[in-house]
Amino acid sequence: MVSTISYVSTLEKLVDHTRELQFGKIRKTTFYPLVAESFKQTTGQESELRRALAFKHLLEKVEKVALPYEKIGGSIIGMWPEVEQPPYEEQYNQAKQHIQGMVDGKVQPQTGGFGLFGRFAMMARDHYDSSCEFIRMQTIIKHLQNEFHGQIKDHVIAKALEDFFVFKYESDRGVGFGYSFSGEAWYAANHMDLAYDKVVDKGWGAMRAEAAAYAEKNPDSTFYRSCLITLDAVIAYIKEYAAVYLKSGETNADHLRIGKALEWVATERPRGFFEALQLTWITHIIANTQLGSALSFGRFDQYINPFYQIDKDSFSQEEAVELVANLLIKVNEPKMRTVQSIIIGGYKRNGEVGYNDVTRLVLRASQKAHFPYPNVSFRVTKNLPQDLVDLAIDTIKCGHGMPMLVNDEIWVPNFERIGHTPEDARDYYNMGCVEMLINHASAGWGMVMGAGINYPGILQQTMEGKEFGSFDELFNAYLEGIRGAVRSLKDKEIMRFPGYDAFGSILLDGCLENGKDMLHDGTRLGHHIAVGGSGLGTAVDSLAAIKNVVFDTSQYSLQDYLAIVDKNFEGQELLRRSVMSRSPHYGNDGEVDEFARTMFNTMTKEVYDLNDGGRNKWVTSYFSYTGATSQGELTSATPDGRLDGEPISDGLGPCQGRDVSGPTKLMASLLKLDYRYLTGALATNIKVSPSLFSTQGGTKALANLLMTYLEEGGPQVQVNFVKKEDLEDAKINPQKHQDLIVRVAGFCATFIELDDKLQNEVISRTEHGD
Amino acid sequence: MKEKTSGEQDAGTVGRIFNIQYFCVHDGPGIRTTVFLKGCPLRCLWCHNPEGISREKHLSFAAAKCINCGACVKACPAVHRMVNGQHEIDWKACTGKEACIAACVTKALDVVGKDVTAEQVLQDVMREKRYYDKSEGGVTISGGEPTMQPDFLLALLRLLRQENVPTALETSGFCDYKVYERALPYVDLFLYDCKETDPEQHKRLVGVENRIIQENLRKLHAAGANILLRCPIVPGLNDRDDHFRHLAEISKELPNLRGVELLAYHKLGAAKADRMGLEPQKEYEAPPKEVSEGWNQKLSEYGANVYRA
Repeated sequence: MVSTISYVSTLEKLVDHTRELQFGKIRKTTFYPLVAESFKQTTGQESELRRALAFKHLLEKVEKVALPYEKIGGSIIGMWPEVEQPPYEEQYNQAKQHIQGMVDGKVQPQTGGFGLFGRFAMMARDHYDSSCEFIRMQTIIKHLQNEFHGQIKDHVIAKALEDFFVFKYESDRGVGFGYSFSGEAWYAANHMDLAYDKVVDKGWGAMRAEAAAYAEKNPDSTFYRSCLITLDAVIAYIKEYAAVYLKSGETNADHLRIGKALEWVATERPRGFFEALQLTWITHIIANTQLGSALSFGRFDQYINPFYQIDKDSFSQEEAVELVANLLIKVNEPKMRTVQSIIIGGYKRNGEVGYNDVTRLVLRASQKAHFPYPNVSFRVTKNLPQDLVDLAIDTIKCGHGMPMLVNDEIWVPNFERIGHTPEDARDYYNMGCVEMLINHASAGWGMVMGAGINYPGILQQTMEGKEFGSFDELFNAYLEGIRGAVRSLKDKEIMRFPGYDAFGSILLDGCLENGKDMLHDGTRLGHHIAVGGSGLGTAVDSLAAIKNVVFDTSQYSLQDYLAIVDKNFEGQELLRRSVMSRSPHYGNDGEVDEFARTMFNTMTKEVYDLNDGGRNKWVTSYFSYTGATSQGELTSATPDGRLDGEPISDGLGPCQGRDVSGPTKLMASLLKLDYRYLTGALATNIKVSPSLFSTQGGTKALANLLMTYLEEGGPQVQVNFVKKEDLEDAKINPQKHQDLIVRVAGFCATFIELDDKLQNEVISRTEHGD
Repeated sequence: MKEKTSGEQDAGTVGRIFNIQYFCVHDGPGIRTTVFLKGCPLRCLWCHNPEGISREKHLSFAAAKCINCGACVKACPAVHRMVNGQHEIDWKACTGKEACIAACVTKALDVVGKDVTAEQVLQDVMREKRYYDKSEGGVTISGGEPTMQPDFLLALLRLLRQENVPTALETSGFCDYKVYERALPYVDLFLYDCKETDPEQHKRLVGVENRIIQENLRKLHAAGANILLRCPIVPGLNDRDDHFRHLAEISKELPNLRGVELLAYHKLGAAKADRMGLEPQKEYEAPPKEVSEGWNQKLSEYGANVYRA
């Protein structure tokens, strides 16, 4: 058994140290050179084998570092040594030259990778290959935007610089989805969860034996050979890492415990809570080392709890929480590509509710973690136990936006509706941010180029060059446009990712049984192909504006009004302001919600109808990550008075700053939508002032607000805080904070529209938390 | 012609309100909607809802929303003018025609006060019913001083009772007891103000006599009303030891009070007064948390049943 050590908390130091690492020097990867080195050695062999051998080479050669203060061991930063950062002046001048080149037409902006979608590094974490510290880059961008003002669009400058400040590597690495080395593709399982539950349940040794049995029966299978190479590499890696910790464990009791645990779980099933956590984490590190990104821990409480029950008496509650917090904190180490998630609660496959001790540990750990990642999601069933409601609210109170609450009573039936078995439907999780999938059973979301329903864009197309006899006529034409845009996706090809990934295949249902790689249809289930809806609120408000200006008050003909919109309302500021203040806005429980309801229901039903019982499922997604801003930068002015480049509405939400009736009214608007065909993703943000929590009554009210929303059929919700710093910044940069709604004793208001005196008073009240 | 039933009469009763606020969490239990009725007989120096003072409708102006376009000047040159490109208002000249409000493109100008029927208010607040049910919340009627519109208040209370919505009445206590007598069967909780216990000070700070308020409080208590005593505390005005002692005595004298809740002064009222062209309010120091917590402790030591939200 694990030797117990006397528990001394290192949590605060771990948080501080992780933050120091985040703001440390620039790091440059050894991944490309190592993988390129391997591919050079394996020329002439089968691609699938070469990929597995490169994985082995990588795990052998990558540096394995032990970090101070950690109680759970393993890190990828050994793969990313620090390098000297070029001096600021030099970087600035290079950047300036680059932008000047674009202004002069001598340099073309890059369009590869995420180029089509606008800016990439707005993801608020550093670019994978970035050669410039994130914050420094933002400063350079700001300077150059001032310097080149009017000559080139701001967001083009930002995008160009983000593309420009990357390390150049010697290998012939490709860009975009997947990388290539000497002609071989590199692709690794990403944006999904892998079967960590299977790993802890069986242990790596038993998993190797399972693969070996398949290999014996299928001696010609390159797939099984690749799996064995991979499994041996994994076991060797963990053993080698164990040695690193045993060495540093000579002077560090926590490291010694890590070393001993790793030594055991390199091949064996964990004997208790600590070893199960350690095995989960080291497996996660391996998946990240091979460049998996946005990986989810899946249904963590479900697979860790059996081990917690074995020896929970050997841990104080505080220590158990700290151990889980280690996982949550270490996700924030540099280059972890942190949009990772962990999901707890909800129904088990057999239909029982799955709340357990570890559900509670994760919530408590999340209160201690103080980092934005991983996204903690809490699957909520009807009749959620009161202690869990309280614990969830206590966690939300910490103000990190976590956990987000996900409604099992909506998602489970919805997954059944698109053809999943009840067991699979109950076994969903969110990968990355909020994208729902069935637990490690498919190779992730499928992608179809152009599979997006851009509501403002389709509206623009509908109206282009046409007049309509009535608003209804226009609206019906618009709905037909939405239906047509969805139907046109039917015959589009699903993007195939090149290459092989044996590690991912071992940890996804079906591949071993089928003898096929995850990238070659080995998985038990097919893809979910997401059709994303964006800018719903912007389109609804645009329709409301047009109804008002063109049809109800006949101030302009449709084309005359659109001509004004096209010119970005130039010289028509009064008209623009009048349209904005006099047209109704979505999100206030008003009549225009009906537009949103009809548009949303039409779109989701149409996507649902694309499903023909086949292996892949079409799903609907209303979640835009940072897309509301980046897509907004690429979207010209809209009829609702939104100017060129301003953010479009986010997810299913209203236009920023236009829901001025408080959270119950916003929820009332959202509850009008029919969520039966929502099957992909949704992010609903409720913003509240922390002052709400100054009293028990306020805290309870928030709990009741959220629970009512879920009981009434809201699929998902997360709570963000209005922060004092945001309010202060909003006084200086109002255009950046159009979405700040505050309560001013008696009324809710858009903060930037308040008089100076009121603004100051609201700030001081937020500060005092009353 | 058939006579109207009392329900129909209630539904059609017209009142004047200045706001309906949703998701209120500090004015009674649970999640509440608060309906603010216009008009108040008191003139508290620190008034935190100055838009509720006047019984009349009147203009309000949010300077931050104004883009100085001059549309209001064209609509009503008697009240609005541009001085060096900046919009200025002659508040006294306003006769309430609302032409400027119709003209204002940014809604910087608005009217405070709206005439509505009790039925309209009921329909509005009933949209939030699911939240009342879940949180044991309900509807709070506030003001201004809501008893200044007794028929409308009664009509609204009765309609809410018919719909089984719990009610709270936020009141200054300054009214004819007959109004309370009529309202009592329909009010689940009185949020009853006790702003000052010294009669002289009361007249100075609030503008009216204390006597009626104190009498009404005792009558309501004797009649079995569920009462939470709410006491705004303004530094320099009524944060006095004798006031806290008096409050404690009231608390002991009236054993069935839900408690005594102290409400610390904030400056929002002063900021809002600017919007309505009212005499500028004197600003007081908003107390830091330690100070207001000290008040609570003191009150508790004097033997009061202190209520904390």
